[in-house]
Amino acid sequence: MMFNRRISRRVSLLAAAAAVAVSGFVPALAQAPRKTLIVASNQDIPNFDPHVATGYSASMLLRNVYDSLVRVEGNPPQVIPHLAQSWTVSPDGMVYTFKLDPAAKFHSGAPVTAEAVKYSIDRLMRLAKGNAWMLAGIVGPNSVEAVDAQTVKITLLKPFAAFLQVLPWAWIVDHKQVEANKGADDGQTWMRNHLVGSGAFTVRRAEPGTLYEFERVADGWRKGGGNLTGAIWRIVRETASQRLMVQRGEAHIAVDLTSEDMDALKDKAGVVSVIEPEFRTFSIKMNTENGPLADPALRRAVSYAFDYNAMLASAGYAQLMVGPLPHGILGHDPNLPVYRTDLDKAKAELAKSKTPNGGVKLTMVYVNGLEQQRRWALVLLDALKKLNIELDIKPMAWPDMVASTKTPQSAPDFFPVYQTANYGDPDNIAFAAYHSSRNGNWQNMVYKSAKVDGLIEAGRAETNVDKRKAIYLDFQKQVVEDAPDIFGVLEKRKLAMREDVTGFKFTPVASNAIEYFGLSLK
Amino acid sequence: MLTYALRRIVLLLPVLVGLSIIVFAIARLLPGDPVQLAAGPQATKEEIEALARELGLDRPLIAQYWSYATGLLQGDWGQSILTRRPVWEDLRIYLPATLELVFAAMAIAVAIGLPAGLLSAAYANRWPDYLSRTLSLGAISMPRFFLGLLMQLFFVMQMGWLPLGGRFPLVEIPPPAVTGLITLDALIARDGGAFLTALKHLAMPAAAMSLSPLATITRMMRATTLEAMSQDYVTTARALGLSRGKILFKYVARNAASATLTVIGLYFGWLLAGTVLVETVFDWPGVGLYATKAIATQDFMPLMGVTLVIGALFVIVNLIVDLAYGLINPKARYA
Amino acid sequence: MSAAAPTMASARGEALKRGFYRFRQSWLSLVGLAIVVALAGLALLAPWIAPHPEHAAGGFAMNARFAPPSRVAWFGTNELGQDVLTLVLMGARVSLFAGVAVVAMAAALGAAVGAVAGFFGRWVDEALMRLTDLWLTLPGLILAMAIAAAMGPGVGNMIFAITLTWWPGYARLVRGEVMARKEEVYVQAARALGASPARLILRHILPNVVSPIIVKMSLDVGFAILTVASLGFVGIGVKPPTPEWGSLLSNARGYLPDYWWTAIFPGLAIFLSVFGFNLLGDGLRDVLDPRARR
Repeated sequence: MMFNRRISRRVSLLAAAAAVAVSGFVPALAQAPRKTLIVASNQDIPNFDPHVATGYSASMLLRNVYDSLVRVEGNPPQVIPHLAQSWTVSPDGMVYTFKLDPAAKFHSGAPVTAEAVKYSIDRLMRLAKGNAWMLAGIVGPNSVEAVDAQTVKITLLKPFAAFLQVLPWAWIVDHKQVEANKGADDGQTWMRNHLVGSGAFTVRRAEPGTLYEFERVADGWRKGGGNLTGAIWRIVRETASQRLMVQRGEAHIAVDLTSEDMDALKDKAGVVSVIEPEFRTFSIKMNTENGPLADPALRRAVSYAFDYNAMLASAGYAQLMVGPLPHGILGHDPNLPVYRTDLDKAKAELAKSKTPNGGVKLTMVYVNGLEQQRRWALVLLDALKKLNIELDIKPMAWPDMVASTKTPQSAPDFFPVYQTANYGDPDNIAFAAYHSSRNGNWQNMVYKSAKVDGLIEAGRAETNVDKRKAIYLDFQKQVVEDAPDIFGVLEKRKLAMREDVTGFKFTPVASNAIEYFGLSLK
Repeated sequence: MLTYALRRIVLLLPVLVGLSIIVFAIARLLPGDPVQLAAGPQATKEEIEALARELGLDRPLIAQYWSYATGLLQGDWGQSILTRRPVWEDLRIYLPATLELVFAAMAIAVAIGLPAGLLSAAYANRWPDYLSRTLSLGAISMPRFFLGLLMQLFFVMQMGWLPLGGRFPLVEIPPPAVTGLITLDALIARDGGAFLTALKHLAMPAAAMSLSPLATITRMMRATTLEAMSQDYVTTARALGLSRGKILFKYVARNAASATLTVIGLYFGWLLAGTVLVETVFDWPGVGLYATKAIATQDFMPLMGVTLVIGALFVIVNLIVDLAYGLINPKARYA
Repeated sequence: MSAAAPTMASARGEALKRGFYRFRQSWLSLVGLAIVVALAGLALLAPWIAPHPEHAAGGFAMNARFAPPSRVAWFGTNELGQDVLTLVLMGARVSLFAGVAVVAMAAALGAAVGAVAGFFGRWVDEALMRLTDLWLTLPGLILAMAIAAAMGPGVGNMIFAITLTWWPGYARLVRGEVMARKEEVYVQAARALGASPARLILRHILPNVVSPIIVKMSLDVGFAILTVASLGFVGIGVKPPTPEWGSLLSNARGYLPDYWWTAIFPGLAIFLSVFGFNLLGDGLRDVLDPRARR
């Protein structure tokens, strides 16, 4: 599919365009009024491959263009049927059997079969990129089995409590089309800008770095939903511009607003604010393997010196994290003893370290243009000054930052990370951010601890809720003692939308990756 | 004249080749690994090596330049990592937007600058002159991005009269592209509504862009007018009893304006290169914004493309100005 | 000045005197001078007169965020409770220094290229001037942005990047002047006495082309400051917490229109300093380079 249809579209809609007034929406063709939702976001979509792409913009695209076996909806999120009409779980939690919806079909017209499901999950695990880590060690090469065209049986390698919560991130592709364009890299080059899903929408026009226009698939298999005929994902880098666009009605939803933006929008007519807690952590990772911060005493000193109140004050709608896990998630202990600002303790820890008088220079990187991260970098600079430690703050482009996390030597001393939970289970944050198999990735560049690895694996495999809670409590204590991060804040999710957007249901799982299916415009 | 023009055009070729060599050399000398960037942050070592082979970046520099240069001639300006499209196609979309901005800015500058300069000269060293000179110095000193923000603050955030940025509303269909300049295309399509919409989008960026040429044109016009007024024919006309105003507007202004207008050609290239900041502030989808985004993502091929296109346009416009000047004023031809 | 030409020196003194008379006559130039002197003075004294010098080094006051301008904080405070007046004053040090440094380095580099080309002539001249002309056609700001971005943030890198795009103007100017001077009698005489080319250029030719260079430098400082701010504005420039005007404005952009003071004052500072240097440069041109006066 190529996206150069603009010219013909221009010609065919010329008559309509001629009738357009100065502002207002274009009625495309006389019979069906076009309802196009405009979302302002600051993140581009660098890759369309559902088994490789990450980032919330890509999640948005995949949620609308692809389908998964099950979905989650509501707050707290509930697992509901999607491609799978129903499923059964064996008593030991090892075997899941899904019955596919016979109506489900890909955009090519081919039905969504058990074979496609097997192919998709196998490809995800084979490539071992993108969201594959969620199922790593859980799903093996022979786990997925197509029993018949409509029945999929997945046999886990070991029990996984959050399995159904993770499945929404395993997107199902039209395997025949991928095979036809496989190339030498399992279709990765081709899939980067081709879509072979079964979702309610598809991409009509892609202008990377500027906008992505979605249109509803004619005769899609999923019935119901809202009245949107299309949507535009507009890349707007400045959050203030996003806010003004919603305020002026130039966009319907803005997804990257700051607390200041939310305050400015508070009593603006026609704008609805959504400020909801979400499992979205912000921490400053430390280089536990290379440089002065490899010394745990220095890390603890930094953790004590940091001004948590200043961080919270500049964060706006947020709360301080207590330990590595977000509040409200299974097993989180809100009374866990953690580091709070205490200069005496900081100096005591510093005295125990290899650099008892400070005198070193550390480096912190941050995403160029992310205002909130710049502020926190200054908060850290101020704290380190009190320990006689210098901080060199380097704004960088995100891809360069990610590239720097590959080895402990290339990684900076401090690396700030927002992490949004993809599923509402402690395993998500624990595994992605602290398991050593994730070293070299931005969520966990270097931290490794055999003890913590063991706890994460045990927590993952345990099905008894109380036992899991106990395991995650141990996990939290151990991580706090190691102090690999400055545990920061949980920012509330801040969205603003025009009041003529209806059908929006807040689900605290990557809620900025807007799903268009259920939305309507008045 | 024809042989002269031909000679100049032939001489253009080595200049363009030289330009491509410089651009290529700078791009290669800059730190940063284009292959790593093209492969993406999560690429493995093997994938990076394979890509380097595929892109030919493991060959000697001379060979790389040769394939780059021959590619340029065949319309292959490389691929943008960001837009995932050929650079040439991107430029075809973005260049008209920048040209529209530059033409509009130039039109504003000429429309205001010529009379202002004339006025300044007519009242040389009196208050209208001081006012116009101070204003034009102020205009040159005003950061375009700051003026842009001030205009947004007033016209958009305070009064709500104009759109914040962009070229045309997203959900509306622009008039069919003939010239690529939306205002012009709207006129061609006889679509008054679209014209007005496009004009509203164009107003602030063009105004911000016009400051610097406006100041220059005002100063040039003042200087040429003053010079013309000291010429013999003015003295003669005066002696013949023509009124000062008539001399000024009928004879002097015309001569001074034609001299001043030649600077416009020279200014054109400068303006093309100077749209970056205005395009950033107003989210104007031209080559400047394209270059800014490319710089932020260290996307080298578009950057080389933009540099080359602007450089080449600069050279070509200067040549046209020279030739046009030669045509008007034969004495200057071989200077 | 060259001791070999005392009469010339006194003639030049005479011209200078007349020049300064003209300069004093032009009140616009005086205004420019006043602005520049005031800015330079404020920049020099900033650490002592700024109300909260610690804010320019990254300090903050979260309990005083976004306070509007008042008698306590004349320019208000920003998103971190930092005093905007302090940031603007300390920013003057960065911006003025960077502007002057760019111009000085560009003049040095350009003068070197131009002098060599003009003095040696022939193929050296041909090659260097072709390069210079080609360089002049490149879009300077885009090039500077690209180089600065590739080198990473930092004042030094930024100055270096802008310098690389700024020298050709000086090369052309100096080459022309050197070509004109090298045939003059005192140069010929020195050459006859066996002076080396380096000595000829440095001792006998360059000192005599200083005034057009100074004129161009004074006219350029304003634009150099503007270019520095431009880089800061697009987010390629200094590292935090360096309070550079362009990046202050860029940060503040997100707080318009509610917290307008965070943007207006850095913007005005850029405007005022560029304006001051332009007025001064205009005046200096009248003094030092009467030929260009019109």
